[in-house]
Amino acid sequence: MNTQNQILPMARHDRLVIEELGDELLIYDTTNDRAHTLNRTAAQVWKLCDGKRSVSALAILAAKQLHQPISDQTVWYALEKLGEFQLLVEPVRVPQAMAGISRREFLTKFAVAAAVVPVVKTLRIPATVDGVSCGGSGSPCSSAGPIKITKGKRNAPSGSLPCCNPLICCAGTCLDPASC
Amino acid sequence: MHSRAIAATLSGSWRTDPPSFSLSERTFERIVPLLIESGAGSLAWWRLSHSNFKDSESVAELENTYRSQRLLAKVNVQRLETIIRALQDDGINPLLVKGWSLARLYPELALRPIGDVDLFLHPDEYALADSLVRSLNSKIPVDLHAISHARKNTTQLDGATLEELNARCQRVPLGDVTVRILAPEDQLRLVCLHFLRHGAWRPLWLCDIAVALETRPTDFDWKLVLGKNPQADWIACALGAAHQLLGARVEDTPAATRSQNLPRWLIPTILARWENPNPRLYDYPEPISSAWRSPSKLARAPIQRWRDPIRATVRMGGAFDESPRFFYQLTDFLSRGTRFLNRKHQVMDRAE
Repeated sequence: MNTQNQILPMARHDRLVIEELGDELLIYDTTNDRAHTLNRTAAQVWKLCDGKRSVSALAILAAKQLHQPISDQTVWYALEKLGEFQLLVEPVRVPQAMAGISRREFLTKFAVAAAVVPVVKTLRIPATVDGVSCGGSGSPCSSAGPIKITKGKRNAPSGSLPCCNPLICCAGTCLDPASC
Repeated sequence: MHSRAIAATLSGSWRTDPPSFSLSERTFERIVPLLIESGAGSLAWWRLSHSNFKDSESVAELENTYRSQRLLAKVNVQRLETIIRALQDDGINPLLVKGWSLARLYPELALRPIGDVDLFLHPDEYALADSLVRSLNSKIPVDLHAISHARKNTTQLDGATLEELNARCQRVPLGDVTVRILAPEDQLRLVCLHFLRHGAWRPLWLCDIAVALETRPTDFDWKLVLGKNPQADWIACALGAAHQLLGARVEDTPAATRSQNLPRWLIPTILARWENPNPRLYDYPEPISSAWRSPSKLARAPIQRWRDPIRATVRMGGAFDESPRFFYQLTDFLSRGTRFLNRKHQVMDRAE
């Protein structure tokens, strides 16, 4: 029996916050505070990973849902990416021919349409001055260091917010008074 | 001017169907980082999505901001729910102000970052709430405000006591819990005063004023906002600024006349702040205790502490009239300098 058919990937849901945005999935991993985006194909494969379906079954079902041909290789590619971003309960060992393959190699080797290629990537969360009016525990605080005002350029000052009550600024970090 | 472009971009952006607009690509590229850094990126994207802007790196950046804000909104609501539930389980029912209570007024939560959590409490509840919040170790900063029943401790609230706020508060669902938030009148008053008290640096806060104004209920009591209180004219001027800079609708409000007759220094001051909307430039200067070691930093220290006309006027309890602001700015500067020296004196006395 083909051992690859015994691989039954399962999507991880524990401590993930999921938001659907059109065909895309946005996922926030609260274990490491990282955010990811999954395109249509990757999202569909992930949703179908219930721990009971083989890769071939996933390919067939995904093709049905997406109304596009989805090969086993496309599913393997998706699974490897999902595993890299810790979105599976356990990472899956992909076939040798697929291991570590780049997107370009995948497109070339398996003649897959670009629109079908599963994409999982980090969602960059902009560092905003988002109106946080005080620093939480561990945040840099007002004695942290200089505010850089560079002539002719927009400044990029170091954090210098006051600490949220009842934290205090201790050596440049907002801390519980008992810890200072 | 970047600030005018920022105002143009954010005009009407809080509406479900914002008006379309256009801007030169070059100007747009310059203001996108400012919009994102000041927390208005997602709102700008909302406006863009209803206009004909061709794809570009700047547009993609705003879209990315919107997407990340959309996800963060969901995450932060869960965190907020956990905090509120924990407090309520121990018999504490705080008033949630700003943040989420404002974000919920927008067409989508994702349009306005939630930031930190501001909770108003009775002083008797403070110690327990503090202990609970610390034990939760939440990733969203929580700022507890003990609001006494005495009118004197209500600088943020323009004389309203906690009892009055509680009596008027709304109870709204937040996930599986019900949370108390300010009544629309108290909320509008708070956001106007907050905007001015912080020198109007953040464009998003003017959008908050606009959305709080335009989503007010039909039974909104203007007497609670512009009635007999010392800061009524300040509030009217904040509403006027929202009208003149962002097109907020004031026609059917008691602030309509004042909105057309703002002091000449007000709008230019706001626009000057919006050229580089970052509070760390002005609000949180480096402490003198660390600056004094460097002559250049020490030389900059007074400049950093010279307040803008808005904050100086508010701090000195002045009028928003046509008189020169220099008097308020100088008085504010000298009074703070005097307090600083007195504190140093006391520290030195204690050390001896």
